[in-house]
Amino acid sequence: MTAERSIVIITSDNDRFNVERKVAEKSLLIKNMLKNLLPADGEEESDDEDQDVIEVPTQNVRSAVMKNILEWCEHYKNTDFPDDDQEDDSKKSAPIDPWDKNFLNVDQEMLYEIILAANYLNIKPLLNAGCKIVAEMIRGKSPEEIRKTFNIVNDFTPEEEAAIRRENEWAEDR
Amino acid sequence: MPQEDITKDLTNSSLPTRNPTSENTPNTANILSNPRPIIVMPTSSESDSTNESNSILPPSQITRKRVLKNAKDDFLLKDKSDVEGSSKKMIYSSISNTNTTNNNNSNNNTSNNSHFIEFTHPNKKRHIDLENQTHTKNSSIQNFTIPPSSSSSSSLIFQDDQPLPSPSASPIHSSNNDTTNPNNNNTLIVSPDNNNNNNNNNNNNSNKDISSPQSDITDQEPIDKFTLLNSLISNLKNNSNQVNTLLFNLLQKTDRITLSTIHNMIFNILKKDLILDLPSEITFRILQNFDHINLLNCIQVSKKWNNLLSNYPELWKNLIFKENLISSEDEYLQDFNLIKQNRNDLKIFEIPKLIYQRRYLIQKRWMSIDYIPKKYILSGGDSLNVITCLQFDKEKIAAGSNANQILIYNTENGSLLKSLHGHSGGVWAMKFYKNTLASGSTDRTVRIWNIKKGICTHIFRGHTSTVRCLEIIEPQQIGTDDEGNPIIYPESPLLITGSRDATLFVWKLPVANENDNENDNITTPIDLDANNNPNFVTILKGHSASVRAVTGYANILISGSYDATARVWDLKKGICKWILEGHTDRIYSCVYDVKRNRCYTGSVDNTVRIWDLNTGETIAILEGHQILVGLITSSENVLVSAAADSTVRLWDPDTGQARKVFRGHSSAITCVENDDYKVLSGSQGMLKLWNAKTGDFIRDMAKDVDGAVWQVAFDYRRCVAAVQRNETTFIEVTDFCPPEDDPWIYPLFQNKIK
Repeated sequence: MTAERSIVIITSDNDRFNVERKVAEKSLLIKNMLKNLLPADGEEESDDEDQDVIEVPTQNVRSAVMKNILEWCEHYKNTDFPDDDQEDDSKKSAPIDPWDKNFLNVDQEMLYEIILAANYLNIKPLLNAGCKIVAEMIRGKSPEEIRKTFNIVNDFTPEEEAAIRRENEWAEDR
Repeated sequence: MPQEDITKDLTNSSLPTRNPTSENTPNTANILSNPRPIIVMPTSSESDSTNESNSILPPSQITRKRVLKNAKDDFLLKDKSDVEGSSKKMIYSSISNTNTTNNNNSNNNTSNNSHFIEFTHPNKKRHIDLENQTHTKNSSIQNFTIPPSSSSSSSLIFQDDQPLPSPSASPIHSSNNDTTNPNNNNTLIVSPDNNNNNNNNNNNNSNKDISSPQSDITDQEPIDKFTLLNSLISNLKNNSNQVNTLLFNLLQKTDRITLSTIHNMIFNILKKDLILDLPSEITFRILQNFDHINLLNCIQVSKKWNNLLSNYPELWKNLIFKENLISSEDEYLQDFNLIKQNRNDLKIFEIPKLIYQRRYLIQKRWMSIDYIPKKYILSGGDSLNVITCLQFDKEKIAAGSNANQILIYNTENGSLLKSLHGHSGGVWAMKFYKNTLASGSTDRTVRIWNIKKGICTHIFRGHTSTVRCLEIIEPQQIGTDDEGNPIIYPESPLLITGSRDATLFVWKLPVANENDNENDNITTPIDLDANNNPNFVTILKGHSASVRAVTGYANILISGSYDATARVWDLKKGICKWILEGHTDRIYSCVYDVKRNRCYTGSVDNTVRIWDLNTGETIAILEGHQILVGLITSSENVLVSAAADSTVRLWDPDTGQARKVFRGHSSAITCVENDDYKVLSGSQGMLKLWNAKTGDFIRDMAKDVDGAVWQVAFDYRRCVAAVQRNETTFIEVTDFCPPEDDPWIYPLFQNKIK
């Protein structure tokens, strides 16, 4: 067995996070990056002993967000997620994992940044959970409640609003 | 110099949470002319009771918390150029001992236990009712008041509209020009540092804006100190490190209750329009979670959202397939083109939504007894006909009878198009593919017909007994080869016929040319024995008794037999893949669930079995029926069995668990059809429509039928049934969306009628 070489993720604001390879590889972006850097999983580590630390710059993610992302990766480091391509309807409509739900119970700015970071780092399960969280914020809400949720200004004139309501009321039980 | 008194009510522990009242002071002159704005905080009788966060202050001490902010949205380091410096809002949390007030109103108030802050000056007197939030007419206050925190009485409500001179603003304005920082939109949170207040104890009127020692300024220059600080802050670069450091320093000097208030406020400010702000592919992912009601609500949120959702017409298309409102891409395209042709008023992206809407509402019509469908009745030919098989599409209805003939009707208007004669025995199996119809008969032959021409084109001989069942298998993609090219099987449609001779024959279906003219020269059918028939492919042997049912898809064929087994054949390899053994009596029907790779069989042994086609094993035995299970149908999410015990049962196709039992028929079920939403079942004198989701009986589709209901078939808008009335057979068509009542495709049609 070879010793794990440490991986350092450097954020956009130059914070450094020491992480286990297993944790970092939750990000397919980083996983693919490491695959190129460390081909045979360290079998031939002798030739680059001087390079113990592998630095992974992530220009698009700031430290506070990365901290959250890594918490998620740490939690799921022993979980294997099936390939995203094969996800079927049942998985898509599966409820949000309670841990994820709690994990993503953050302000909307942070949620926004986590989703963007998950997208950038290619962490599909986290991206999916984030999307579902946003969907949950909308589900079952009236237009006015949605506006309140996201602080959106109703820019319809009363006439336009009435027209668009008429146009879309066909689904209501009458 | 204007004075102010800030009082602290030690008695009310909720007071510190109170937000700093805030007021806009548009008119500096007004403030200057009112030299003595005074806050009077009445003491309550329990004035020494606990107030942990503030009781450490000596009673004589005056402290102040001040939050300056321009507008709620601009809180914290956000720049907004349209706010003028003079309209800076001041928010006070007044913490002071009432005893220090020397206002002339104080006498009135000190004896008053109600929580009032009074701002007074010569002309005007205002009340801030801390307990009563019913006065809401001054909405401007609420615009910049910190949102209510945990304390229910934290809002300050002003009782009239006139701008309130801010107590702290007055000294600033009076002593210094207030235009120093006209564009300062940074918010200051200035909180008292309790430990550093002592040096100000001797002066009740002093400002305590800045309490940290290094920035301490003498009491005689409080305004300069504040202004200076304000000015310094305004010159800081937005979001710079200095600002952040300063902000965190200030926050560290803030008590938990205020922090909680700020937290709530920030939480709200951090709200953002995630749907619009996220990249479009992520937004699409989010929206894919929604049903039609969610989508319709999103459309109504704002113009931008409306516009955004119109960029994703696929959402509606996906929903149509997800909810099984349409099952095939072809059918979707037909709907799409039909709407495109008839609705010039619509943009292309609006069509998928309309397709959804139309299908959804037609489905609702089926389920509502209030909707009266259009009905027409077609003559069924000879009076004693038994209709043995029935199939229809949007152009034609085909009904095979035991009177040796097959009748073809026009689906739109019900006219009899063709009567196919030729079999010398009853027709017991029939199916059409486009314009080609195949039939099997007690005369042991299989006949191929050109429907448009109304002629028999081929006679396939080979079976040695009644042809009891048949299936047409259309070409499907079954995989990809090494180079990624699709593998299609079969290459052309196959016809498989099952017979009482215990064999199955596989034939290449001779497909009629769609462009054949009806009046082309009529030829005599090609009549060949299997031995020298170029269309003959193979014979499937193995069953030891009559083949009663056959079904298939792509390369897989399943046959059910009176030998109590079902066999799974791989047509491509030409082998029998599985023999499904387990039933103890004849199998009457079988259904192939392609998606789950399963097979359902119904038997005279009163059970239904679910088979796993990966292993050939029984997954579940569905028990409940009392007499033979003659009929099985299934849709994406519903498995239906119907039996001679006059019940129809619904099962979960995944688990095999019983879902519903439909009771209401009074004799053996003769026919049944279903989709995910509904089940239609027929028996002597009855044709019942059931809700597949709730199990409710909806309506009887053939009220005046006194005889048999031989067959039933339906699509999204029509139900076609072969029934017997007064010993005469009829084909009844019930249409839930006739053109004159199809406002989605023919809106003008309706107007014309009206």
